Amino acid sequence: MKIERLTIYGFGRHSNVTIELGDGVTVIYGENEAGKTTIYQFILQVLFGFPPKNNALLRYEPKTGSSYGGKIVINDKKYGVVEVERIRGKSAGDVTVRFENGTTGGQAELNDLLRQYDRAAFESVFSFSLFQLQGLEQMDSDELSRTLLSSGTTGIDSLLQLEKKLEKEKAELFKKSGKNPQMNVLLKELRELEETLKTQRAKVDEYEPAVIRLEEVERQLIVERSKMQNCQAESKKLESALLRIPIIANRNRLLTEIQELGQNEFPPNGIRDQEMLESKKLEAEAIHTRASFQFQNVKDKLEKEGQKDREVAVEALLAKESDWQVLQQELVSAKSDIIRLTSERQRLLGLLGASESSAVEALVQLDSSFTQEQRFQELVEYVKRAERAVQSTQLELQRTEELKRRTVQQLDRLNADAPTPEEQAQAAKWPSVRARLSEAKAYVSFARKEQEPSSKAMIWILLAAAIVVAGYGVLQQQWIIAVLGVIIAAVSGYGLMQKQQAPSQSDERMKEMSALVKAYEGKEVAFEELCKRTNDFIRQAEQLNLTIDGHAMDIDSLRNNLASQTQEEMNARRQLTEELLVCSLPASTGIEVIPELFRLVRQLQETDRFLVERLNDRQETYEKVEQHLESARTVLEREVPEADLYTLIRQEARKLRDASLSAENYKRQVKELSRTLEEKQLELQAYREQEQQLFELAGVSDKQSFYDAYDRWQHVQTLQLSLNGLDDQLKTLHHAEEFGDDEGWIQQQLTLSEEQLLAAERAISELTEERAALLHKTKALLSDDAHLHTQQLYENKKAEFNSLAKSWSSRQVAAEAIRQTMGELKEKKLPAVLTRANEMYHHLTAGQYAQLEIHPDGQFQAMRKDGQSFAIAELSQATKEQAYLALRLSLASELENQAPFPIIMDDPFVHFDAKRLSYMTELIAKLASNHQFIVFTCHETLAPQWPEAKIINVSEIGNSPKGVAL
Amino acid sequence: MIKFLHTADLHLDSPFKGITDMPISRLTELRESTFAAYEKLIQYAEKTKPDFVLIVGDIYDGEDRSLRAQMRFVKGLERLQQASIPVFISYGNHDHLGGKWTRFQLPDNVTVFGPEVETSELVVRGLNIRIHGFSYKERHIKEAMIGHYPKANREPGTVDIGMLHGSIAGEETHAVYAPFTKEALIEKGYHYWALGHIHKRQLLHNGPPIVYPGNLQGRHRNEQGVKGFYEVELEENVSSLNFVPTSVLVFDEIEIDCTEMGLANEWLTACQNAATEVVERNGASMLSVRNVHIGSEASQLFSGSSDEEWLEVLRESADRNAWFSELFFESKQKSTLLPDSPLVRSVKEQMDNWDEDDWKTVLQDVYQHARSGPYLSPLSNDMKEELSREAGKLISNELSTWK
Repeated sequence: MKIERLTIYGFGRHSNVTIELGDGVTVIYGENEAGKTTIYQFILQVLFGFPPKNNALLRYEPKTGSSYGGKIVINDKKYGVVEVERIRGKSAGDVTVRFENGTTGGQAELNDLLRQYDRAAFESVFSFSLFQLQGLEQMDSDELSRTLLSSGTTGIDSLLQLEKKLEKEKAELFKKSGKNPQMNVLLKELRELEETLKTQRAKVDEYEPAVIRLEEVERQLIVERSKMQNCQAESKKLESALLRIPIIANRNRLLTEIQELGQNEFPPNGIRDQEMLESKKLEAEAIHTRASFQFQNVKDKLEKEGQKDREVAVEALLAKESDWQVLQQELVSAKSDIIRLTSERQRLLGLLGASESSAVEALVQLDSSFTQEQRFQELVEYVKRAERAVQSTQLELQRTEELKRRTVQQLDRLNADAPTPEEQAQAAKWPSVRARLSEAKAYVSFARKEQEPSSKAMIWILLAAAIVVAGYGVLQQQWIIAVLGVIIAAVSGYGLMQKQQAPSQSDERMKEMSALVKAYEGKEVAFEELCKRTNDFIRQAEQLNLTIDGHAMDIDSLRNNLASQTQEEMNARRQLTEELLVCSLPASTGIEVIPELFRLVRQLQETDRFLVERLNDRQETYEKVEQHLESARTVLEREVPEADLYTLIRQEARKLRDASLSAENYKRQVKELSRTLEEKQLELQAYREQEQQLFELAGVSDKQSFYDAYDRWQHVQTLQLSLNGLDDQLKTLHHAEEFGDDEGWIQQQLTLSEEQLLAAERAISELTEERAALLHKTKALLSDDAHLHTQQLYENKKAEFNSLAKSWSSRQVAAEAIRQTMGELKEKKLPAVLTRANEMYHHLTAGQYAQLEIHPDGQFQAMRKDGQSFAIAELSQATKEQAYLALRLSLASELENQAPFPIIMDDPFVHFDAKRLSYMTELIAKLASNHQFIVFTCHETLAPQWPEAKIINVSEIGNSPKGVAL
Repeated sequence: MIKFLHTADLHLDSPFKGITDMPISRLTELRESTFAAYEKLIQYAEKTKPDFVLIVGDIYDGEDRSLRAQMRFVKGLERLQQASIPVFISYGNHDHLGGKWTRFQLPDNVTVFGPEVETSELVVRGLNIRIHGFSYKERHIKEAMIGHYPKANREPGTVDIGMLHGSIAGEETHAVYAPFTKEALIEKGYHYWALGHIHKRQLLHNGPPIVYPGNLQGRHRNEQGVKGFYEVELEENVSSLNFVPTSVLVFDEIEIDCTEMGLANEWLTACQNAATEVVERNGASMLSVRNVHIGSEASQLFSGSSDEEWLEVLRESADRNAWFSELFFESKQKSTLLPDSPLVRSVKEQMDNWDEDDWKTVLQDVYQHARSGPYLSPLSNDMKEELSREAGKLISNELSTWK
């Protein structure tokens, strides 16, 4: 494997740098701080990953901010040209591997490319610096082995530790002769389980014999059972035979007895029937006796009773009781009617005023018809008319005289109020004055149109009022008032005149007129009134005088009328009185009572008629009563007072009725009793016959022998029953007939049989037990879960053991592999490396030292060509380094096939002189055909030592513009 | 045409092997499965009424045969007797004639072959059926018994069937018993070879059919997949085989693609789903889980806990019908991301160079040990590889330079 080119995108101080490496040896030269180590780290980190992020110093992240990482082009024998690029990404960076054929890969491919070497392993073999040479003194064969195995110290140690651990685990699992390790424990368990299985299997083997024995037992059981059954049957028969003997004896005895008693018949239920008949007979007889006694008794009683005729008569009387009562009542009512009517008649006669019998007779005979009454009525009417005419005329007369008197009074009053003669004169003069006055007024008013007409009117009104007051005073003859009126009139008249004078001021006429008006101012109304009053007085006086005259004429005519009318009335009255007398009616009575009189007369006549009728009725009733009493007496056969006649009759009737009822009762009893007697007689007859029949059936004649027969019969029955019982017993025992009745022999046989039975029973019980045990055993064996369980457990344990064995085996294999690896290392690989190292050392020291060897304690020793051995520490620095380099280079060569990596060296030759250096370069040049060498140095002198080598000056690479091709 | 059932390797009532971490109670329960599978066979026969039934050895699981296994087996045969179905039995290495164990009386519809090759004949619908076979007289029959089988005379109306419990010569994965070669079988000119002994179902040849029906019920993780028997119909050189599954519990492997797995839940769910799918298809299953395509995320996830812990978590969340037996992690990126150092490589290289004797020597302490040796399965190549892998893992984990 060769690194052809480094392309740094950004790493530490370098960015955008491309470095082409040589095919064989490449010397990278630079001053301190020029960036050699950076390139060294770049190679390692791109191949094996950036250090963790917490280790910033070693990460070489560019400060310039250019992209972190870069790529390395590798030419590998196996993989061809491969480009490994690592850029910033996860902690170790993101890696991409690009192969020649265009495929790409990641970490896995890189791992393959790097032959699964990690950085530590790589560094331990393929990269060395002087610093590492320091440890050479301590280096021993183990160290060399570790290096050889590219595992570093930890790897080998872990491996060795692992081996120990595995051994320990193995020991926990299994020890050849241990007891406690798991597998040993399991082994023991397995052995025990096997033992158990063996026992259980042995148990299973018991099954077959058990089954065979079971069949045998079954067979024997059947035999024994039949034996037992036979014995039981035999014993039973024998026992029966024994039982038969006394039974037969008994039977014979009974038969004899029955024989002796002889044949005997007895009606079934005979005794009961007979007893029943007996009791029935007695009962019937008792009833019969009692009935005949009663019959006689009742008959006697019946004879005593018997008054039917009288009872009928009394009943008839009783039936007439209501008639009697009616008669009595009629008597009472007639009596009271007569009294009432007589007094009525007396009252009426009194009213009519007829005390004498003749008068009475007359009244009674009087024609009281309506015609007669009508005639009287007309007369009365006539009298009344005349009377009314007189009265009305008298009234008229009085009225007219009153009118005449009143009129005269009026006239007198009028005259008293009559006006004075001046007044009458003034009144006469007034109409002319008034005419002038009104002319004057009109004139004035034209002159002063609007001169207080109201006040003028007021004055007029005042004047009128004065006149009225004065008039009133005159009329009422209250002179003060009249005077007052006049005064007022005067005042008003003055006022009036004052006013009427005013308008006449314009001219003379006016003056004149006004004077006139003024003169009569306010007096106009008074004058008008006066005038009117005077006129009224005159007219009234005339009228009243006329009326008085009329009245006086009326009075005269009325007095004449009255005289004639009184005469006429007197005539009418006389005629009426005459007529009354004719009728012998009290004439003194007034005309108003005529209808009343007639009513009374009619009433009297009626009362009289009723009275006569009632008297006749009473007489009749008396006769009937007497008749009644007579018949009662006859029936009751004794004197009876009229008052409590019917009380007596009723008593008698009740008595008779009671007697009749008892008689009826007795009769019925007689009838019943006679029937009872007859029935009982028949019954008795029947009973006797039945009894006789019973007796006949029993073949006896009387009761005593009947009972005897019964006793005998019963005894025979009992015997027969016993006999039957014995027969039945014998029947059930018939199977024992064969044994006869030799008791002794039978007993003997019986004992024998019992013994056999016992023996069989014992055998059966034993066999049954055995069978049960066998059945149980076979069944248990058939359903034996324990065996199954053990089997399964055994299998499980076995599986477990196998699993543990596998576990043990894997550990054993691993441990063995480790041991073998280590062994092989020491025995094969290490000597090979040493041989090669010896050669190199020999060459490097120019034969001064023959070889390197390993001291038994593991330390290296260098042997000089004279055979003298030196410990490494005893060697000079350069020789020491030569030894170290020889070992490392031989290691690398040894691993060439497995790990053909470039060898990277960081200034390893500083202590070498020119000669040694030339030996060294010679060796490297030789090795460079198989390995690429990359040598970092700060010594310019080193470069010329490799004429074929590619020299790169770090300080020159800088940031060349062509640097990076991404 | 004749119709018969061909079964072998019933291993009735055999314990489950190689399972360390399942509760024993549950294992005992699972033991019923061999009976359940046998029951299925009997029921199938009762239903379909084949002309006869061939049972080619290994009915029981060796000398540890339980009484109940025998009892149940006989009861099943009695049911076939009821159904008038003849049964032909040749015993194998696990139930050889030399065994000293209780034998149950077999019903009279059963024909058992003796220790020498015999021919038993029966007539079915005018066809003369000749069945050839033998029973193991002892546990180990190394002799090539095939030499004793007569050649078929190939008369018309005759059908020859061979029953042979054994394995092909040179086959190393199984202990070799009564070895034969395919050619030797074909040479006999039989119409059908009913084989037994190998638990994996396989058809060695087609005309005539040479058939291993496999066992009725798988019993450990190496007996994966659905198990059952063959229903065979033969007609003048024409045969048809119908596989009838009987296993009630299937050993299987599920593969979980972990490309996108980042969370434990995702992985658990994926496992459960895959398990459910298998359970729905095959019934109760014992599953090993193979995790493939493990990316860096998944790798990180799985590194979080030990394999045992993952397995435990998975079991805790499992359905009762699924039992997770093992976990495998394929191509764990651990190894690629964390490269072995040259040191580790050189250690590992040591193991690769070991030959058979080296291995024996290395492991002799346990494998050659008088006591422990017998309990261990022989050191196979697989085993060696696995041990190398395990040892490498131990070293890598300890020495990884990437720590």
